[in-house]
Amino acid sequence: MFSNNKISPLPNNGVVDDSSGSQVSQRRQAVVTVEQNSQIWTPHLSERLRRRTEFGELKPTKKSSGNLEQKIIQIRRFLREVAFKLEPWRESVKAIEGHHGSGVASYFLFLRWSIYLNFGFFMLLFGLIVIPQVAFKKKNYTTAVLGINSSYVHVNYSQHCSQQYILNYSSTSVSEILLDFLQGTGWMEKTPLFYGYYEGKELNYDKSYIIPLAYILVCIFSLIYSVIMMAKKSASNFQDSIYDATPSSHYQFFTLVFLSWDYTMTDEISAKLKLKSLKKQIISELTDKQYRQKRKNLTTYQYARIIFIRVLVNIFVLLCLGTGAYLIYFTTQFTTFHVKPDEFHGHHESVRFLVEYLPSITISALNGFIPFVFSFITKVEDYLPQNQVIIILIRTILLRLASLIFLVASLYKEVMCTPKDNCNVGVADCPPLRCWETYIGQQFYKLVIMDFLISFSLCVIVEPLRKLFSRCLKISSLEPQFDVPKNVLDLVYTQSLSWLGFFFAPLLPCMVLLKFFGTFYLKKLSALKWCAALEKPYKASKSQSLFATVLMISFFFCCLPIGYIICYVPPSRSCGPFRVYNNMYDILTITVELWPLTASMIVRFLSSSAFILTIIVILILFLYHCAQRGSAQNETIKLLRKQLNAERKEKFYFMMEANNTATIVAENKASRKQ
Amino acid sequence: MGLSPSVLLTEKDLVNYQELTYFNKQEILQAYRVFRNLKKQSIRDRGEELQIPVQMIMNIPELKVNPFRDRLCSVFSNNRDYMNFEEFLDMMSVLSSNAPKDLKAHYAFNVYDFNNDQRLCEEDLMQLLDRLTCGLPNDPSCYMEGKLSDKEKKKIIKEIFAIADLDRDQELSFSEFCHIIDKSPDFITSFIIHL
Repeated sequence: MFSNNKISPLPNNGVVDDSSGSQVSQRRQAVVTVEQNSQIWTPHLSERLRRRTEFGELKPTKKSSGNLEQKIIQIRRFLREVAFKLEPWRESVKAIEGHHGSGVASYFLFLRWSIYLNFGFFMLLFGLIVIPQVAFKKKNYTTAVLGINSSYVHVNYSQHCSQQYILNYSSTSVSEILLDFLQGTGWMEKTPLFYGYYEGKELNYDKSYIIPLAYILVCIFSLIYSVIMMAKKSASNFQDSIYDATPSSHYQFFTLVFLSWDYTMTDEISAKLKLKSLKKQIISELTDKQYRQKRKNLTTYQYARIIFIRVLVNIFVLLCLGTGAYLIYFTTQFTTFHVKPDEFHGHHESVRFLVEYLPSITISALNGFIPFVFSFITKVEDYLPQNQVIIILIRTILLRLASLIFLVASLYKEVMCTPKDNCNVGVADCPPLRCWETYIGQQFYKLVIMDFLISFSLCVIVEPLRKLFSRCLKISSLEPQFDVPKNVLDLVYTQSLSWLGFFFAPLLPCMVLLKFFGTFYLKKLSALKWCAALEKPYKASKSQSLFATVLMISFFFCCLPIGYIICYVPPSRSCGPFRVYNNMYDILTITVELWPLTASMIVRFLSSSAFILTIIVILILFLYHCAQRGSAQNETIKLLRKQLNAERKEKFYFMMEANNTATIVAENKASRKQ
Repeated sequence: MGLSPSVLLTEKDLVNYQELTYFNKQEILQAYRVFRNLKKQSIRDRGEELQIPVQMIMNIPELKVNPFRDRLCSVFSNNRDYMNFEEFLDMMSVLSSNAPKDLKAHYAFNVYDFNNDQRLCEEDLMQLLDRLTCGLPNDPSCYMEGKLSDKEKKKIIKEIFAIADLDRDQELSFSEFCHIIDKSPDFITSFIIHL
């Protein structure tokens, strides 16, 4: 409606340059008038305003649409204003944008979005699991267990086993309390932070609140909530990013010239740097072009050499991943198997602390160190510069995901270690984990803490020092730069920790939320104070869609182990909401069995393999349909492009013809006069 | 609330502006505040309207470092030396993050069309490249040595025309410009000024 008034208020076109009376400029003028007619020319704001007040033109149809629509418009405007006022960190993002441009700002927007995501996540878990359990623990607590007569339930075992799960700790010294806090052991172990704290019974106040059912439903719903949030986020990005199938490298010069100036820049020093870096970029792009042309005519020998080097490097990368895997496996095994608690007598507390933290330190060290190696060896491989960045990124993502997968795998091996007593606790060579869920939760707890400590020390100690050294020694390469992809990967990694760990430590999203909150200010400090402007700017749109994709991939990687554990891994007998059940999933089955017959029939049908198969087939068909439509549209685009070209040629031809006839007519007239 | 500087902005104006621009109330008031603050330094009244010299508009922090600030101002002020509030608001609205791509593309085209002939010709692109590497043409030292050589510029322009100039007339028309802008999702994020 009134948006129509806004779109295309084109300015009065400038003065047409007709200083020379040559044919070209005549033609040009003619073309201009043709184009003018074909477009709707709407005047400036002041003119629009004048017309509106004087002639009632361009007014939204107030009378015809009635009062209701007016109200809706007002409410919508009001909501927009509220959203505008509530939007947090607008000023911060603007300042960063002015300093580093929109590429870096997009990281901060992503970070802000992650904070929203984790806030919702945290509220779900906190409100529906933690508060009921903590607040109503002493009030009307029944021993009722859902589905007590069912074959899935073993109440006796778990009662017997729960009594064995006692923590003996002496919280005497401050240092011990602190160490326990950092490790999530001792007094921390039976707090609402970890899975083991939660009870497997019903809470009864007027109506019963079944903790196990709530636990599993909230966890599943949290995952669904994450998917919805991500889908919403990436949908808006994908619309922009995957617009055309043709590679963007074709448009590099166009992009460089027309789009590389970031209008958001406000900082004078950064702007000067930007001008310089633009020049550098243009020149490097030119040399690149030459290089690429040279690459086209390589001899077979040279070609074979490049391939050989690449294969070698890829083998090396795989070796790196393998070594990393082994290190993670080894350290996890070392901490649990080889260092029994009684061996610590005589050792200092700090030794125990170090050993406890060994896996987290290993993972963090690998994540910090190996990307450097990757970026170094990728230079040898002789890729095109823009491909090089992508390849380094892909390898780093692989490393990050792989390290988490290795961790989960080695934890899984410990949990599934076979000789077990009837309390589901490992005996003989297996680690005696009374509550393995809490144990896994502790691992993720430690990883999050480690992650935070590292990013904190990087921002507060390492980067200022680097800045100082680069100033003193005049080495510009030492000066820290804001590396967007690396920072995003850090963020995605932390988010994956939250997804993997939240089931075993329901308050982990809260920690991650706090971590992100702190990270925002730390990174802001780092971006505004320590980091120099990027030499090669990161394109905002490219990064946005890439972030979303990476996050999606890691989300599905995180969902797999959680789903597997819920469905197949027997829970501990001595702790947690599912201690009486065979599998965690059983609580859902039992609930459905207690429903009226038709309802449970429907649910059973919906979860049957026949139904799911049908759904999958339908989805695949739909996907195929979409792909077909996409390719058809691409064809149309090609066709339209050709048509446009042909039309332009035609127009050009007619213009020339018209000009010729005009001159002939003029000549004729002139000759007649003579 | 920060309503004090809006003495001259009536509620009716605000409603009108909200409907004709992409701004909400706060943003309009913010733009007005920025505009009024310039007035303290210099006023030139033409009747009732407040007019601010373009030179001063170009010095607000949001535009100060922009190598195309004079072009932006002249496009939005119809090539005059003065700008009134409505023109200023129009400029900020087009450059806000809510404005649609087509509109932004149109103004970008006009900004880069240095000789105002509705065509981006080689001459325009040359000047564009100079500004991208050296800023406004008032820094003689950079223009003496820092800028790209003519040969390099010619090469780049050739590359651009090879991709964008569909009818091979060695000029870019608005539709050709739009055609490529549509494929560059970065445009919408880079052609933005936050007030």
